[in-house]
Amino acid sequence: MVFSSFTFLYWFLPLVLLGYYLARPAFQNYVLLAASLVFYSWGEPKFVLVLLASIAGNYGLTLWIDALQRSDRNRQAKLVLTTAVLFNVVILGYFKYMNFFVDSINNFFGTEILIKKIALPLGISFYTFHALSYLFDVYRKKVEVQRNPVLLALYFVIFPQMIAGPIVRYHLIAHQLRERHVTLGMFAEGVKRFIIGLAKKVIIANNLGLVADEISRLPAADSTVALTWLGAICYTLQIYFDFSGYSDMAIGLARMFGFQFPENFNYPYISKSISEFWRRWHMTLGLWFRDYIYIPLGGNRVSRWKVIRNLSVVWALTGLWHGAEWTFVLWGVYFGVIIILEKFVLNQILTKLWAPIQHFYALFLIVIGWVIFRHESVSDVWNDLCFMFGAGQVPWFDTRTLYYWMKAWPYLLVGVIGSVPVVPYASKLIENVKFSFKGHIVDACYIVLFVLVTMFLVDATFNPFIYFRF
Amino acid sequence: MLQFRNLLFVSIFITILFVSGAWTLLSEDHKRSVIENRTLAQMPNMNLQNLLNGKYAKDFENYLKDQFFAREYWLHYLFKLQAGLGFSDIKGIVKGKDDYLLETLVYTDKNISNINHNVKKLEQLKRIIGSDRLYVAVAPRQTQANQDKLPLYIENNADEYTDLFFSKLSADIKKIDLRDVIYKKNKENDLYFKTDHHWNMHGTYLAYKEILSFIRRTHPEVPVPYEKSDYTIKLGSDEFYGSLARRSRNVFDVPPDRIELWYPKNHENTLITVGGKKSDTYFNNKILKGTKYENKYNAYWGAGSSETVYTVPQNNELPNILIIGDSYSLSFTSLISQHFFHTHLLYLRNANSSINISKIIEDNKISMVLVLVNSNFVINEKFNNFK
Repeated sequence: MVFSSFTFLYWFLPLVLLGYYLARPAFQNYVLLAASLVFYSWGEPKFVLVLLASIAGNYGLTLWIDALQRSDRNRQAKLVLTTAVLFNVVILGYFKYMNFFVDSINNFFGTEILIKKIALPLGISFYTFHALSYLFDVYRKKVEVQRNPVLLALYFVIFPQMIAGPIVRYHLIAHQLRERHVTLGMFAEGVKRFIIGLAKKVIIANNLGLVADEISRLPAADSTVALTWLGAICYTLQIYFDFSGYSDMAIGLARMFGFQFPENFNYPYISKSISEFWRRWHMTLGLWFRDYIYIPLGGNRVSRWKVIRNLSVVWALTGLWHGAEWTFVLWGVYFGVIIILEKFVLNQILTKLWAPIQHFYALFLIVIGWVIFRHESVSDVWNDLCFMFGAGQVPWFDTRTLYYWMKAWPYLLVGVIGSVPVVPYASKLIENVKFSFKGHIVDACYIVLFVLVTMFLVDATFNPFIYFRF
Repeated sequence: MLQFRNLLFVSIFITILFVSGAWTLLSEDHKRSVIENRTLAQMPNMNLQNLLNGKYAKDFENYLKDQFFAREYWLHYLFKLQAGLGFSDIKGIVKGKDDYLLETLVYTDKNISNINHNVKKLEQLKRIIGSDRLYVAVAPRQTQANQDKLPLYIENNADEYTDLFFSKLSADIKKIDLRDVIYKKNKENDLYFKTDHHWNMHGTYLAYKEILSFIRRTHPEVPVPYEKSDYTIKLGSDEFYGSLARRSRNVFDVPPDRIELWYPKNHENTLITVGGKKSDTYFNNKILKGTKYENKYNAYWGAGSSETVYTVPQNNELPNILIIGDSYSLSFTSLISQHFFHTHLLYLRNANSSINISKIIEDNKISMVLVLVNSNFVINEKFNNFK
């Protein structure tokens, strides 16, 4: 189910809220688990079996690890941990990477191995990372093993975050699964955050996505340099508002049910370097890789070559986590190389430059990064880059380019303003202004925004979530 | 105070969720949207198979979206807001010079596959009926014929692709390119509606004269075209909001068009059957009395069925014609039918691939076939509606 759908907003959400708050506290987790399973199964029920198998497997294996550790059989515990990691990696590998792996072998070695097309279960990359987080946290004794299968299942499937994050590491949420309190203030805060996310998605991301999509579907001969740049800029804003909008909705919804999810974005497009960008973009993924891959490999506290190795591993995996395509690997390597260069060479130069130049440097590389990310084949990436830099034998500008700019500009304007911390700045200004009903006026703005979102949804013909395919 | 504020805010939010959802599910469902001229999604049937294959989820979402309470108001005010904020393009429609609503349709090389498909289909048709009996006419679409009225940042490149379509048809197919005559006269008179993508009766008349004169070169037995003075012209409606006004919910505030009814002399004797059902009037007068946003272009018979037949009893010595066409052929048939004994109209929008052209030709002693569609059809759609 998609948050920005009528089914979710006007059918599922009111029923779940009703069920949850009418239930006695002891039953609220059962309501939430049942609702989450309906949310997950809606539209694609067959993959719920994969999800349940993953939950059951991880539940059993962690109990085993815990039992072995309690009886000081640490070597066996490590062996079971390895088995459990393999269990998760095999599930993810089969569903997400098998076709890619076989196609790559066929391409490289000229073989003709045939396998059927394996469909990707929704949210598998996210819940597998949740599972691994839980395994490592239990193994490292950071948390108590979860003996209640309902609570563990809830961690895997809780509907606000299960399909596209944020990736909530287990130790952050373990105690909230057992006990949490919702105040009216928290609930209202959650609603506001949800509305902000919904507006980001429905008003900005969908409309910019429509333009980006139309431009990308144009045949090469009908493109221009300025049009390719417009497509890339629209996509850059679309993916930010799409994904950060989803995270806002997830954080807001979770708050309505008493959970505190970690933040996932912090105005990434105001970064002055790519390293900073990745500290602001999909923060929970970065922290997952830091905690469970980078630091166990030695992190920064090893020789220069080992740091380079560690960073390379993390970035190759980051690329591959996003999808089973060579363009994602290329995208990961691209950022890995830039981050290594920044760490050892560029940072010393960059920090001395005029701030706008630093911003330009980061934004330019980010846009190029998204050009690599959005295409399915390396040749398409190459074509787009050639067009963007005037090497593609297409004109610089034409009437159609002007038309698309005219179509996109209102959303581009809102998108650019929304990408910088204008809202927090304005909120601070408003805080200092004192007049009666100020709070009610702000609240009314949220309600108006929600009504506006509904109007856009009634008209929507284009409503995909980019991160759903990961 | 803060507690009260939060309570009020949460209450309003929850009320919106519950009231909107309940209102949508409990209120009576609408069968059809007049303004969009389409049937609306209805509550899907729930069964295990639909639930498992995801069809139910998809249909239920479409149902909620189509039946969402006050849907028309939401859309109207959204478009009003967008127009008020300076958005020039509302649902692919812009306001051009002289109060013309125009489409932002842009064709690309991706449309070439449609053109190739359509050329292939017409070549098959030629093999069935013979090149001497087949005429192919393409009408320029409203925006194509009024390019000078488009805002500077939009170009319509339909001509390029219409040229390509004609160039791909084999030489022995009789092609009628209506662009020259229409472009020339459109400068003097409005040949198209301002709020609709069709030609008006003046445009239709021009096409009728051009096509009939062309047919008479090989079929001199067909009578000469009528003069305008041979028609009794009556006003069907002075409140016609065409497809472009309806799609943009008339947020550009342009005045409505007029529907004219051109009654040919002796039209009283003409028998018209739409889908086998006899009509009592030469035009569909019932639709003209419909609500403000009724598609009154359908006053010209044919949209209600795949096959419409005009029979003019006094023409029993004249040949029969089959017209295979899109909506541009509806008004056209009301004029040209007076020059034949039977005029069969195969309306492509309602036709399906089971329709057997050879059988229609044989059963109805058809002497010639005219394909008449607008340029968007040959570029953007496919002749898949007959075999």
